[in-house]
Amino acid sequence: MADEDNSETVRSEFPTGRVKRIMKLDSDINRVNSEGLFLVSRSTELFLQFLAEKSAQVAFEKKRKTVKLEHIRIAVKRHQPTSDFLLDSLPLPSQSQPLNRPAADRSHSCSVADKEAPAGTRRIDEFFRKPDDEAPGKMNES
Amino acid sequence: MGDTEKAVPETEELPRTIVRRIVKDKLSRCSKDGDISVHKDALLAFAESARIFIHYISATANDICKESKRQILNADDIFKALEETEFHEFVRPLKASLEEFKRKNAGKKAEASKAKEIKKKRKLEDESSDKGVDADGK
Repeated sequence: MADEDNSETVRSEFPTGRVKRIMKLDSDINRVNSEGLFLVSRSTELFLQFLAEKSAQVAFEKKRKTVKLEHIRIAVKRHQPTSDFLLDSLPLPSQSQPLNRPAADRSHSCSVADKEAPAGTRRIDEFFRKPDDEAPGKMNES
Repeated sequence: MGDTEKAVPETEELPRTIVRRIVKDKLSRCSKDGDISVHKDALLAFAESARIFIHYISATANDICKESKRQILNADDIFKALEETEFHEFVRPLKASLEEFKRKNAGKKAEASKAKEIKKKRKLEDESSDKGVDADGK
């Protein structure tokens, strides 16, 4: 896939097979046509770029040259549409910092946010493997 | 693609190298000095976020698709899903990308069907030349 480059820019693309497999972890989803699959890939790319940019802005505000997890978290919080589906699912920091995490304030009924999990957590996967569980975005109330 | 992921098959992740490339390319375009870097934890978070986004958009599009009593997710469903999830700003660039994608595919399809035609013709020619006597067909 990455070999098919635009004439203008060398653009990184996600392998469509992988994207499709990720999509199909949701047992609700049956089939997707090639255009739909392409758009899912491409919009994910755009989202990633968007998130990267917003996170970098936060890092810049804090006079940092390295984008860190907390910068992403702040960026996510600031953008409602993203916060809606992502805030509670962000991986927790690998080092157990005694941060005053706002997540502690919110008395969520959802157990996801309370679960302490290692970095690069897999807990979201548990949701998507079980057919009767809904996507975290739908479960959580902001 | 030679992306050897150490990922367990059950989890299905996006290739980290590609996530990294997309993020770093964007960051180098954003920052003025261009020396901004990404912490390891942040990179994992970016990868997870992208993966969750795929699920989110797909699920939303799927609902839309099912409402229209269809089985197959199509481009329109994705566009509607993006509107519904308030990622309107993605729609225009995506429409442009889609046009290009369709153009590329149209070219490929034409080539593929041509190749098929040629193959078919050749096969028929071979068969007719093999059968000296076309008796009962067997």
